[in-house]
Amino acid sequence: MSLFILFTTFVFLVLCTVPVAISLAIATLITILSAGNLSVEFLVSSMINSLDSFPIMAVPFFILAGEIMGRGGISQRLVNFSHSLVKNITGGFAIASILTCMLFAAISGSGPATVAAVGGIMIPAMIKYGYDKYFATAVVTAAGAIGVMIPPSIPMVMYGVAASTSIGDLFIAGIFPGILVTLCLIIWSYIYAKHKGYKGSDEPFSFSQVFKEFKNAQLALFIPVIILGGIYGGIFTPTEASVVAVVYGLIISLFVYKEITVKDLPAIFTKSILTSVIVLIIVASATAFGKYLSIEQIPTQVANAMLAFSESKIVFITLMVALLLLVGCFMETIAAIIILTPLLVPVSTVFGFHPVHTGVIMVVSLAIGFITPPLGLNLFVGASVAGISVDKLSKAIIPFFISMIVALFLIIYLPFLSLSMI
Amino acid sequence: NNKQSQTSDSASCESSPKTLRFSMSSNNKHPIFSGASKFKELVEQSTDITVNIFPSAQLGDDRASIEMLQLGTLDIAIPSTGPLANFSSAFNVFDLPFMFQSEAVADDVLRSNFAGTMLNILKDKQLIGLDFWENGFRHLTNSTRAVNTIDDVSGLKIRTMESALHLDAWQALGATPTPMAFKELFTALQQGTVDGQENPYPNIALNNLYEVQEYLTDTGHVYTPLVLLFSAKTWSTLSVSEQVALREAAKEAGDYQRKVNREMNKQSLAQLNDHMTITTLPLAERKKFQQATLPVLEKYKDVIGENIVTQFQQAIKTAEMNDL
Amino acid sequence: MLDWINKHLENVIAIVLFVVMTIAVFTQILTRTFDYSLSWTEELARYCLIWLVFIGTSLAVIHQQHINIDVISKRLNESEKKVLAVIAQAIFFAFSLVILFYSTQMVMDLYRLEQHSPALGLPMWIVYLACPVGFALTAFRLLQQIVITVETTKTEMDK
Ligand code: NA
Ligand code: NA
Repeated sequence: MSLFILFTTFVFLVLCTVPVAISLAIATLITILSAGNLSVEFLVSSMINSLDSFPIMAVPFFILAGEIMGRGGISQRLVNFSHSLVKNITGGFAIASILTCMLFAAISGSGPATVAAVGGIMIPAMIKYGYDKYFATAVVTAAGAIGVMIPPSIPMVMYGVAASTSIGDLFIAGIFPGILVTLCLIIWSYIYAKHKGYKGSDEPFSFSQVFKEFKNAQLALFIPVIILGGIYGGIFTPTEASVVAVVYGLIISLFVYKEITVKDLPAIFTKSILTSVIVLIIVASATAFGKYLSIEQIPTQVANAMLAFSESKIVFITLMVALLLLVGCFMETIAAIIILTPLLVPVSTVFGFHPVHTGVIMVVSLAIGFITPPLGLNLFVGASVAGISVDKLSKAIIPFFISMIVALFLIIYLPFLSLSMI
Repeated sequence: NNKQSQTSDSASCESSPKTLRFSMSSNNKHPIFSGASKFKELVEQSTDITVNIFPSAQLGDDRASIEMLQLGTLDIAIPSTGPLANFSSAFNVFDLPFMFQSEAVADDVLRSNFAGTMLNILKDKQLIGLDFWENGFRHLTNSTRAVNTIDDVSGLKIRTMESALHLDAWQALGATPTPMAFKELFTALQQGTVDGQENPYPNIALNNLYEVQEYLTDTGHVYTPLVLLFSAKTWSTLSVSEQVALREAAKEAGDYQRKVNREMNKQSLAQLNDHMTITTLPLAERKKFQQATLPVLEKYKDVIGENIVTQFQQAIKTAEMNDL
Repeated sequence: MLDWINKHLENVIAIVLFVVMTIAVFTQILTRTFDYSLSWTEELARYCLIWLVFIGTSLAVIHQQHINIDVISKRLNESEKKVLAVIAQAIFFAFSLVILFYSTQMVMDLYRLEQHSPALGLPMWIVYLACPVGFALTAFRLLQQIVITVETTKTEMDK
């Protein structure tokens, strides 16, 4: 009953154009009050405590870094350089965006942060070179999900602890599946680009132009070097890397390229604050909502009911993926992993799945949840970075969703993709 | 609902059936979960209360859980004394380094009058402390070198909890302590952002830290107790007989939890031994560690309250005498 | 003066918070690199973020940036859209008042209970104050917008 109240209230409010974050919070509030077993303070303290987390800070900082690079001329140089490289390839910019997300995944353990950082640069670039803006946004929104598949990845750390499996193995196991998802997204982008005729420029590829743009973009291209070097050299954590990007971006933009002055900074900060806040306030109410689901033990009940049906390996894995995709629609990844891992892993082991393989399947399935409405953080970041509506983006992302499901099934049926290197 | 009908039959029973939420930050493989499950079992046997356990900080970490107890949005929690010190600074006393020499001494102290005094302090904070359980002795791991002497600690970047006292203690030992969110610790250790960390054996094993750490030294620098806490708001809704039953269950489950924790300590150490180089700190060297941290004790006397520190030292002395 | 506050209050506070966050985390990296660690940088950044989000909620109301789904509203005509917008704002407004009421009580509870933050030793009620302050501002901004929408509709209808 409480579940019914929760979802009908949520859907009703969202349709009334009440903001998503507030709809979630009100739905949770009304359910709490009607069930009478919790107080309003629960909602408030859950919302505040969900923001009291250091890793979450990567989201606003990467959004800020993206904004600084955009206005400060860094992005333009990066875009010019990649244009000189991919201009003759069908869908070149989309492919470059997806590959950038994959590289960025080695820095960030967060889907939304990946969308923010890469989207801030690549979405405007794709639109500029004639791509449909919904497709352009969908490309980065979907590819951002790769952020948690390739190490470092906080969801994998959480899974390793919950399942008593090697985190090091999980990190390695995520690499090929991450690349596979990347490939599937590239294939769809290529097909779409071919269909739409995004065949790129007619001017011939020229090494001298590449070299010229490379020289122009030198300092900008140094950003990934600094960030990757800093993380893998043990100077800062992936979360702290976001601040390094901000500071480096500021220095280059203000003092080297001189395309912005201190006077431009308030506007840059305001824009970044707005983009960050509207996503983080959704994170806050989604966490409260997720905690309420945990208290009512709803994910546990659904998982147990589902496990009772699982007679064969195929039925089990199909139900497991369905459950994870469903949970990914409504719950935050880490919370889902913490609650579901102890339930799913023992059963999956009985059906012959290696715990590392199960972990990869779980993380990829939940990562797909980043792009599924109603609660898809990547969708919200993507929509607000590009300034388009969430429902239009949700439609544009369907083919990418299908590509990722195809990748997921390959990952499930080809265990060696995950297990060959461990 | 079966229980509900049973209760309404017995008119003598003044209480109504209740479901209590029990939050803990470790996962369901940790000895704390075994203790919590025992508590649940005992409570459900002797009363009409149902206890639901929420492991893995699903409802919030230790600090958040204590706060939720105060606000009445949670019923039971089992935090370490560390986070509790943010609510009542007297609880810093347990974070003073090198106070307990053995588990036996800890057991005596944590069931002494002193323990009762400490639990009583919490009443003003809307918290009912039922009993002390055990997280245990904390030990140092790192990936730089085997720590045999105090000089080996020098310059190591060690992740500590976000507590000024812990930071001061490690600084006094010559290390560079760095507070860091636990979620980021694994990656930070792997990349070498920090060299080491300190935790009880089961926590090191259950969080897979041996994958990214090479050396372990049995520093045992701090013994961390846990406190089984009730929300005062919930507590006041319980009947006297229920309260008595809960106190008894807390003690019995506490004994059981200690037993499981110590078995787990051995198992974890054996598991860690397969992956890491384990160093035993010689007694003379331990004395040097202790000496080095004495200024920290002086510094925190005022924060904790001089008489609490004195009582604590007295209780330890008495326990050590009993042990001989 | 009042006009300046009306225009810039949330924006200025939010920018200051974001700048402090950036400086805190960058200081943390620098000091650790030079083998000296501050205990409070991470905590300061986290608490600034909490304030930033709640103050930002109001800022996002001013700029009408909160994410919503317009499946229904895009099928409506202009005046129907306006009615729906006012209804949505009113619901948001009512919610803000409820949260304002309860979070104020919570802050008072926490004030009495004297919890301090681990690193800065900051009273925790100051952190939680973000919620009532943020929602008070949000409620005020929503009221402003409702009044404006209703008045412009009135003048349009008068014409
Ligand atoms: Na990653
Ligand atoms: Na989703």
